[in-house]
Amino acid sequence: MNAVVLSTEWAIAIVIVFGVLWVAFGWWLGRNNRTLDDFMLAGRNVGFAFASATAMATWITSNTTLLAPQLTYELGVWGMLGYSMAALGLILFAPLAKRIKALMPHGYTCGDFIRRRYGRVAWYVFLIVALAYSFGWLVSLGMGGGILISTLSGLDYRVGMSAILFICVCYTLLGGLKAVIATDFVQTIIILIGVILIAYVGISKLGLEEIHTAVEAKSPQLLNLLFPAALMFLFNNIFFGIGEIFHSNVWWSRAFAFKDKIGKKAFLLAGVLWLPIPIVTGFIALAAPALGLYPASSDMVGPLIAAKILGGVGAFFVFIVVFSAMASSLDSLLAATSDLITKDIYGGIINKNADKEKLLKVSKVSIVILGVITWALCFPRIDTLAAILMITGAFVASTIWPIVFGLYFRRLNGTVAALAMAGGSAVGLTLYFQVGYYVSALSSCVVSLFVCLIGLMAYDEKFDWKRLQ
Amino acid sequence: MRTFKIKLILLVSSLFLCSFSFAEMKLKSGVDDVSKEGYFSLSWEGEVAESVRLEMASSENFEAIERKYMINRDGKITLSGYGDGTFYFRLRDSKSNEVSNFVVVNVEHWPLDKAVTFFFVGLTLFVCLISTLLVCTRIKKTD
Repeated sequence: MNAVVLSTEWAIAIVIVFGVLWVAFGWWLGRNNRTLDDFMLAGRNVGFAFASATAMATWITSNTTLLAPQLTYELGVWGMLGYSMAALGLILFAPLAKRIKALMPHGYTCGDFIRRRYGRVAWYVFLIVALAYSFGWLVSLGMGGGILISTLSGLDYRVGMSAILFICVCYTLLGGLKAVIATDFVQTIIILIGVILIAYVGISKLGLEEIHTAVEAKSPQLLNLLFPAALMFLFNNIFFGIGEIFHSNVWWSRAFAFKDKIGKKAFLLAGVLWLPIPIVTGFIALAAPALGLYPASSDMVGPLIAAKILGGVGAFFVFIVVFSAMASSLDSLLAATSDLITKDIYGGIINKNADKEKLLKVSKVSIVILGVITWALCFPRIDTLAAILMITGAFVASTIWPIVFGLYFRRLNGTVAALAMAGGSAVGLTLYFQVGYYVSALSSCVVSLFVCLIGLMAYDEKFDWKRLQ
Repeated sequence: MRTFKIKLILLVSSLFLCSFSFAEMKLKSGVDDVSKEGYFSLSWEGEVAESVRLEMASSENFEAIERKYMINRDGKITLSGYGDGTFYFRLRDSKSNEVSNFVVVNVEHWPLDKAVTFFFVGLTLFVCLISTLLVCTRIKKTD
């Protein structure tokens, strides 16, 4: 019944081999990094192929490979489709990336934009939102590593979690964003081949009819298109995905790093290619009743079923695919959050006179500190992946409208933007605990829009776009 | 005599329970809790044999077993896809001996009108966002 299909020795061997490869690759790529721009933004010179691959690989995370099956297992067909709609975040960010690059050709972080566009109060609120999200995502990724390794090999959760964090911290530290983007490119190829292989073998081994009959008999609610919690979840997840991308420095740093006129096309292509991935990974969760497999915790359902369907060799592939997916997101998040800490918190609050050399050192130290804090938060495994990640939806969805209006309208002022983010987050969090995770992002976004609309009617800021240059 | 009988019954039943390593089962979020989404976790403490199955019935006396689940060695299982209703769960071994207490799970989904309201609020908000982005990008292009 337990999924353990890889021997502990094999699991350790894969982790060590991949770990050494990624770290060596990171060192090799980063050996010519000299300036802060090289380390943080890969010299602002990333071409179309690498740009599309990094956008796609970063968005394929442990959440796509572990959370999509979890949500399908819990919320059925709507859970699966709803999760795939997170692709809209990438697609809708495409025009924004173009605008960001045009408005701030020398920008470093999304915090830069908020501070210059809205002033310090909104910037403080935004930093709280951004850091809450970054830690939520980092913890879910670290946990994902531990869950994957323990489900497939029986190795202790804490060992897997520690290993993946250690590897990602090492190569991000050595290579900066250049290493992150290059490893993402390789990881994208591995992920795409692996997912296609898993889907093909899965469908040919288990017929669609057999899956449908078993779900209908044992878990009928999963096929119900009027499943109430799943109906609430659909648009909530769309706004969660959009909020995650619109506000996060992971994506802003890419918009700054990509060559001119590349960002829009790269994000569009990445979104379109990403859309079917959660459907494939989520679908396998529907095979649980047909196989008579029921997980201890619903976030283990993906690897549990993939290992059962594909056997030992399949488990090997699953392991490598999910490991690559997690690494590709974890490194990006470590790099982007460290940028935010370096430029916004250290350079903007603690030491405003810090030169670029000092900031480069701080950037590296903050990557290590982030790794250690994430490790400490992951250690007790306090809840499921969905519960941990979805709480951040209340925060991120509140930033959608202040960012859209901030990029295109002169009228919206800083106080209103701060109120929109704080009010949206507060209401979203309240509903997260009162109703459930499937309404927090949606309610946060609604409140934020109302506050922004009132602000747009009440004030006329006439912001000068040149202040962003 | 009556006290002796009770003591004897207790002694026999405790021996009986020990021989089948009785496991205490509970609903993760608390006994008799209500699930609003149709999924829930059950956990049990103590070693149980591989042949043990989790049984589900709609009545307390388990007259008709509606579903049987293989269990894992983690001492926990998460089930999903349940419709409204009250469900009873217990662990039983291959010789039909009960090896745990039973647990009651109440599933009561959110009212459909509430869910549909959230759905349409989401849809409206989504249309607003798409329209805003289309208008904004078009205006900036013209600029």
